[in-house]
Amino acid sequence: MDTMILVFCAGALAGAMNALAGGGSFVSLPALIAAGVPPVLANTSSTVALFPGGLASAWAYRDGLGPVGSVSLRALLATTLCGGLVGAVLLLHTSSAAFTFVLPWLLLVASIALAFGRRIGEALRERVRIHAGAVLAVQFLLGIYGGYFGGAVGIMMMAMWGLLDSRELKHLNAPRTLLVSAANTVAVFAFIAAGAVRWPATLAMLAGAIIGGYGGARIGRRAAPGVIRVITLFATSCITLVFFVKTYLL
Amino acid sequence: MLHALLATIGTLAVLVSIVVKLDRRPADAEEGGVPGPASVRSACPWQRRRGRMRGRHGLGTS
Repeated sequence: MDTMILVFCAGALAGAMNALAGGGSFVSLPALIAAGVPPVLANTSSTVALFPGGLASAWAYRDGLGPVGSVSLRALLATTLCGGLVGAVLLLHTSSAAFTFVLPWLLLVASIALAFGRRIGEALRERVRIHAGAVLAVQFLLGIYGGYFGGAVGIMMMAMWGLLDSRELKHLNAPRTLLVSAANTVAVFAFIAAGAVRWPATLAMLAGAIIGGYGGARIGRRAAPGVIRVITLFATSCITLVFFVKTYLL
Repeated sequence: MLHALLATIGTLAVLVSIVVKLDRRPADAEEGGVPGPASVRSACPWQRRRGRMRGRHGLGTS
């Protein structure tokens, strides 16, 4: 019972984090592992649990949808769906031990993207320009990452699109939420079809994530963005450090 | 200010609970929990190969 309470609370925190600054999977995935779910199933279950929140965000942004530079949204969507499916299938064929071995590194990459993604993207934007074909190729790779793990994939997409489009990055928020959800949608269907979801824990986390997402949006209107960012980066750094120590040192 | 404080306390409480619970999990990935370095190493092909080589040269595999 106390395990289910932890999973529910972690879901609430993850939902709130995703509604504010992202990084919810840094809490949901470790909580499911702590609850005794094997690492790969914990990752698939976490994706399913946080999926409705992402879908709601995509719906909220639907009016701002449009092409990214010269690349049509339809092409990006098709590429992301293909990539997401490949990532999901890859995850389903990864053993728990192998996933545990790479998990700290995935968390580290996502932490760096959360902490420095925008700054790295802006720095690259001043120096590098890429063409539409390269965007679709990288989008496919990000789709794979999105279906496999997905931590901070939205920030990575924005950083990459910034190299193509000279518009302000905030105009890319709508395609970002749609395409992150697209990678998750195809992954969620694959995980459910493969029977790779621990439903009791997932449903408890999903309920928490919905409540947390709503609460997070309300807190977001009142709390200073700087404070939210500090709390998010603290949480993601702590979890990454714990997984490195636990996997490689203890 | 109050919202920031509540968010910080809530985040810390959940994080500490997760870390404490992770620490109590059995060290076997298939049973859940984070496996220790030994079980992760045994899953890596290069470590298994090294183990076999040790055995072949009479150095023991333990």
